Amino acid sequence: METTMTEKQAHDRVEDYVRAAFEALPGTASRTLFSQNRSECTDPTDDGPPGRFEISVTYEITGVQVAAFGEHVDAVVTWWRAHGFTVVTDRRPTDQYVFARNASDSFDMSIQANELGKLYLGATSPCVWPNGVPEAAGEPSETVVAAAPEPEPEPAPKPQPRPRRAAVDDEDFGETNWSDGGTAF
Amino acid sequence: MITWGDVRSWHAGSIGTVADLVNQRCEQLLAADSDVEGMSRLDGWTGDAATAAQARGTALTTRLEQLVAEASAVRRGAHETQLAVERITADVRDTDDLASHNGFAIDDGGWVTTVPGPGALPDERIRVELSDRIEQILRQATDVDADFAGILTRAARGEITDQGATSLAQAADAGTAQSGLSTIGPPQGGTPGDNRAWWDSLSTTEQGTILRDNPDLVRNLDGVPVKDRDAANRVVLQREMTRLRNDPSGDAKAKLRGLTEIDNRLNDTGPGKPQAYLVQLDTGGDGKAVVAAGNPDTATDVATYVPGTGSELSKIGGDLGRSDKMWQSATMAGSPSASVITWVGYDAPDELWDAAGESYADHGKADLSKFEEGLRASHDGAPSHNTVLGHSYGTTVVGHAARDGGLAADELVFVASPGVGVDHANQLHLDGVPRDQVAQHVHSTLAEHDMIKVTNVGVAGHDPLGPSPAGSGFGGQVFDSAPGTKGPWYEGGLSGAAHSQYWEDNNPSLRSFGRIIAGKPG
Repeated sequence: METTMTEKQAHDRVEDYVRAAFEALPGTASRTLFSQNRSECTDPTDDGPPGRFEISVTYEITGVQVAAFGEHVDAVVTWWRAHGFTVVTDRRPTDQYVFARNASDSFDMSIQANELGKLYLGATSPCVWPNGVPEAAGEPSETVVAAAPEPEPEPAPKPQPRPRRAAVDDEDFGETNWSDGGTAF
Repeated sequence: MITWGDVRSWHAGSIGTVADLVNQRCEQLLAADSDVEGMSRLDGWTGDAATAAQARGTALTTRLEQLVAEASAVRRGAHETQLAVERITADVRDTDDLASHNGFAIDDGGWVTTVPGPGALPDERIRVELSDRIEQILRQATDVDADFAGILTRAARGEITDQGATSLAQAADAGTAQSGLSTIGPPQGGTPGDNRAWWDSLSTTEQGTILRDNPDLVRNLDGVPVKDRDAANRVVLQREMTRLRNDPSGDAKAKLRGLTEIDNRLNDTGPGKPQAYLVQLDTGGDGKAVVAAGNPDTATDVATYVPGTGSELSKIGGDLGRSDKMWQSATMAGSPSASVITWVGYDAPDELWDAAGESYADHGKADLSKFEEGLRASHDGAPSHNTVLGHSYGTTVVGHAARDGGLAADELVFVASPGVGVDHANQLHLDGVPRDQVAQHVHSTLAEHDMIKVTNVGVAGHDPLGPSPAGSGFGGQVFDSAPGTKGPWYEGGLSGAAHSQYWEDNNPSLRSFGRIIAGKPG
C-alpha cells in the first residue's frame, strides 16, 4: 500500500489553500470557520484499505454584499487557474456552486453561495494515512487532526498522495483515475 | 365517563377551598399533639379510675392518629388534585383556543367540527392534533378523578391507617404516604400524536420524574419531544456502555464501538457539527440507534437518512459522519436551520445478496412511517420541510413505507437504489402531496459505475425490488453524481466502491442532497 502525506500535513495544506484563495478576494472580507471534517475514506465492505482519512475545512466569507458574490467567485476561480486548479463543476447560474481540482496533489476546493446571502470557501485533501504510512490491519487510528504526529524521518523522496477520484465533469471523466474507495454500502 | 363539557366546567378554585379547609383542620389536630400525649400520662394517679382514664386516653389517641392519617391523605390528594385540575383546565382553554383560531369548534362531547366561514379550508393536521389533545386531556382528567375518588373512598372506609404511629406527626406522615395522584402512562398503542398530547398533559414535575425514574417509558416513544427522549437515552447510553465493557464477547465489543461513536458525537459540537440528540437506542439484536444532528423539533428543514446493506449499530460512526456532511451541505445550500437524522432503526441485510428480498424492508417500513409521523407530532411551530433519504437497501425500506402506508414527508431521495418496490413514482404516497405531484418530490441518483446496477435486472418477474428509480421510466427527478470508481472489465466496469462514494466532498451529489433538504431543486 502506498504512503501519503500525513494528516497534519493535509490539514495544514487545506488551511493554506483556503487562506491563499481568500487573500485573492477583492475588498475587505473576513472569514470564520464553518466546518472541519475528518472523514474515513473506506469501510471494511470496500476493497480499498481502511484507515485513511479525508481532511477538509470550510470557511464562511463574511462582509461581502450579495451583489458582489459573482465578483468574488470569479476572483477565486481566477486564483485557482493560476495555481494549478482546474474547474470541474460549475453550476452557475442556476446554483452558485463551483468546484475545482488540483491535479498535482489531488486537493479539491469549492466556493458556494446561497439565497440567504452566505458565501463559503472550502478545501479537501485526498485520502491520507494519519501518519503517512499504512496502518497495521485492525488497528484503526484514533488520531485527531491537531494531534497527528509527524512521521520520522520523512520518507525520501516525499510521497505523493494517492490519485483520487475527481469531481464530476463530463469532459474529464475519461481521463480520471477513479481508484479510491468510499465508506459503506 | 367524563366529557369535554365536564372538564370545561371544572374549577380548580373549588377544590382549592376544600384543600385549604382540610389543611386547616389537619393543622389544628396536629397542634394538639402534646395534649394528646398527655392524655395517657397520668403521673402519680393510681387506682381503678386512673386505669379507666388511661384506657380511655389511649383509645382517644389511637382514634386521633387514625383521623390524622386519613385527613393527611385527603389533604395531599386535594392539593395534588387542585394542581392537576388547574393544568387540565388550562389545557382545555388552550385547546379550545387552538380550535377557534383555526376554523374548528369542539362540542361538549369532544367532537371537532368545522365552523363554516370565508377563507381557506381548515388545516386537517390541526383537526388531528385537536382530536389527540382532547383524547389525552380527557384521559388525564379521568385518571385524576379516579385517583382522588379512590383516596376519598379509602379514607371513608378506614383503609388509610396510621401504620403504628406513636405520635400525631408520625400518623400524618403515614397518611400522606398512602395518598397522592398516580402519574398516568402513555396510551396503549397510541399514535405519535397521542404520545405527544399525553406528554404535554403531564406537569413538568411528572415529566422529570419519568425521565429520572422510568426513562424506558418514553425514550423510544415517537411523538415525545426529542430533547426529552435525548435526556432519557443519554442515561441509558452510559448504563449500556458500562455493561458492555464488562462483557468479553465479540458482539459486545462491536456494539460498544458503535455506542462510543455515538457518545463521541453527542459530546462533539465543533465547527460544522450542531448539537446532537440521541433519539432512540436499543442494544438488542444487531442494535438500533437514531441520532439527530440538530434538533428536528425546532429545525426548518429535517432529513432522515436511512442507510442500507450492512448498516448496524456497531458501524454507525460512518453514517453519523455522512449526516453531518448533509447538515453542512443543507446549511450551505440555504437552509435557515437544519436537522439531519441518522436512522439505524431497522434490521438491515448483512450482505448485498441478502438484499435481493423484500423481507428486511417490510420489517422496517412500519417503524420508519411511525418515526416520520412522530417527527411531525413533536415538531414545534409551523410544520418543517421533511426529507427521507435512503441509500442502497435503505431506499427499499423508504419505498415500501411510502408505497404501503405513506410517509409523513415532503421529499424522498433514493441514492444508489436496487429498487423501491414500485414501477413509477406516482405509486408512492407522501402525506399532504397530491398523487399527481408526487413525482416532483421523488429524487434519485445512481453512479455510472455503481455495482448496485446488477440488481436492476429490468425483466418482469426477475426484479423483486422493482426497477431503478433513477431510470427514465420511473417518473421522478434524477440528479447527477460522480461516476465513481470504475471496476474491472469482467464486472462490466462496475465496482462496490462506487456504491459508497456519494458523500465524498468532491461528489456533486452531496451538494444536491443539501439543496433538496433545503427545499430546492437537486
